[in-house]
Amino acid sequence: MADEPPLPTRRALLKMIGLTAGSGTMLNAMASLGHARQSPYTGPPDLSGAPDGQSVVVLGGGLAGMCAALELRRAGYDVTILEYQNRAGGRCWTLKGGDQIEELGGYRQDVEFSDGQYINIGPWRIPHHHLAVLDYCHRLDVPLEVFVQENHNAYLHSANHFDGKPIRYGHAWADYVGQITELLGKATNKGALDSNLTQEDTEILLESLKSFGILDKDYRYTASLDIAEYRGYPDGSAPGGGLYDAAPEPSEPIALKDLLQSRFWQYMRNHTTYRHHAPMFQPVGGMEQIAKAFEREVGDLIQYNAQVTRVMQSEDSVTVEYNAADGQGEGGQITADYCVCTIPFTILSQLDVDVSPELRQVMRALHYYEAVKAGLEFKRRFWERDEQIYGGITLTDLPIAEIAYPSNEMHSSGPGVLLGAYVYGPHAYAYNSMSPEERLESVLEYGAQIHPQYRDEFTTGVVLSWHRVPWMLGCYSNWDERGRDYEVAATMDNRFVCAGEHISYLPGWQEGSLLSALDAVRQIHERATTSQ
Amino acid sequence: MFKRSAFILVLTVAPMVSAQDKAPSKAPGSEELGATTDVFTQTDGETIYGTACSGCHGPGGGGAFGAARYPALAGNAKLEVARYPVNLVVEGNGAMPAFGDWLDDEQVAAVVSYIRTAFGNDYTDEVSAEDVARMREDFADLDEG
Repeated sequence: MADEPPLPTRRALLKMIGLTAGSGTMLNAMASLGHARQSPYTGPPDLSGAPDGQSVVVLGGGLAGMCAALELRRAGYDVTILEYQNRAGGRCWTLKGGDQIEELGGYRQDVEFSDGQYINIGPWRIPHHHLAVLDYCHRLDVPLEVFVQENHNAYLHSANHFDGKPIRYGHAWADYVGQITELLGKATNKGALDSNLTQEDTEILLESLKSFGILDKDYRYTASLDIAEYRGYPDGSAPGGGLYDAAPEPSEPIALKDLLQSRFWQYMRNHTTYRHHAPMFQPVGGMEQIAKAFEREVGDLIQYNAQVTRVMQSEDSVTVEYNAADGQGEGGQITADYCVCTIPFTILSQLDVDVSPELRQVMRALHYYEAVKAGLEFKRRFWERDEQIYGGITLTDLPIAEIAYPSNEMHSSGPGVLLGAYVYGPHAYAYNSMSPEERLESVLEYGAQIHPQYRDEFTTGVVLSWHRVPWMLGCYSNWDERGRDYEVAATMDNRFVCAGEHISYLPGWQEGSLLSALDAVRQIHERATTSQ
Repeated sequence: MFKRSAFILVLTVAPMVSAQDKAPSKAPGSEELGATTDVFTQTDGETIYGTACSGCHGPGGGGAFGAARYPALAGNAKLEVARYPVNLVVEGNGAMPAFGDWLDDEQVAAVVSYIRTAFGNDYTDEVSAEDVARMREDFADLDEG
């Protein structure tokens, strides 16, 4: 009928819903309108109808604890957070000039980065499909910028191959793909695939190999201007202007044999895992901006310097005992109706916690990864100015494992902070056993093998071993098989429910912390609203 | 060991080298750090302790205390029965990681023998690589059972 207004477009409809009902509703609406949503996150929980006067004590003021507190208070619960440290945020942690790191064993590191420089010593990047983190960044007003994960101009490096010289990632990638494509072309032309493909499909395959691998008319991957278009040009022979040195020259591929033996292929799917697909994000000013945003909301609920020692449960309450973590002030006791516990199992398994024997067993059985991370400040961003590397990651078989270039302040003429090492496995324990000074010296020594500018340009750095962090005793959870154990860990035990990255299928990711916190909150609310 | 790493990705699909295979001496870090990406490379008990264990348990075995603790090994009566430290080193428990994939039987025997006789401990009955191998099988059976 002509009088009826035209149907709104789907976009206009979404915009209307978004404007009137908030982003969570928008996400729900998007799902029902048939957009694929790559996360179970459906917006902030609906906790309506909370009974009056119910209280929750939250153990741990990291992202999980603060998220749970934010939502529970919003729903009308009376919330207290106990935090061991004198700061909020837990592993969502950015080190800046003036900060101090206290490690077990008495080591102290003073962070002396220049103004505005920092290292995210815990989580450092956000996938575009981590919808809970992204939504809370929206709601809490945390500006994000792009985090560069994949950079074809960064390096692959092996101490024992190519004379220990770094190779541009893009060269190795294009040459490896080109040459395995060439081999597949040979096999196809010899009829090796005849039983798998029709004549027509074989012809299409050959056409695609030529196009995908940048093969010549004889299905060979050889030095040419065509491959230079993909892998890059030889040094000093890139396309120019005017008369002199203007015409580009073909570049020579790296021999397949050398690529195979260097094992560089093992790095070549790194950036293509689902969780590292571009674009990724980071908060402007450091990951801690997320922690600070939560702290702005729930900081008034946090009792700092509280070392939990004991959790007791009865039929109708939970009582938590704590000491002053610094040994100076008073300890105390808090009784609440429910408890959300985000204390990592490395620590919780050692406390006197009144839960089922099954949950106690799971706490002890869960292992945690080791990890060592280094932040190194240099006077000048030589990786950008000398080597045209803007963000991204160099991967090496040296013990530092990688060098990640900062995605913030690109192309500035000031200093920059690199991630100078990200170490797992036995090497991480070797670093864990060293003093911070020894670790730093080792990290610089290895890094200088890739970037000789290190020694001249280095100003200051920190190297943190997560096993020495007094409130973690490890880095993040390492489930062998989740199975029944996971179910036990994630299920409310009387009035006590665990949350944190370890109670998720996203270990080590902040998304896991938030999603588990929301599920913990859901369980408490369900219990509170049905047991009245 | 495949790391489902998250803060960063270490999908290093490094060659699967069991602790029993000796890593090539050229492997980066083996000389300077006493370890490769996959295994610890030292053989002497005290040296392995200094690389793998002392960061948490302390150079003198005194342990460390934060929100919870790394237990002291000095004067630790639980070391009396070798099977206990062997189990913890191989399989881990609580904050103790599992080192079973990174240390071979000889190395486990060496480091366990060291901590049972260092730091004022005096449990001199030898733990052999064969003992460790046998215990590993027991632990695996128990895990399955």
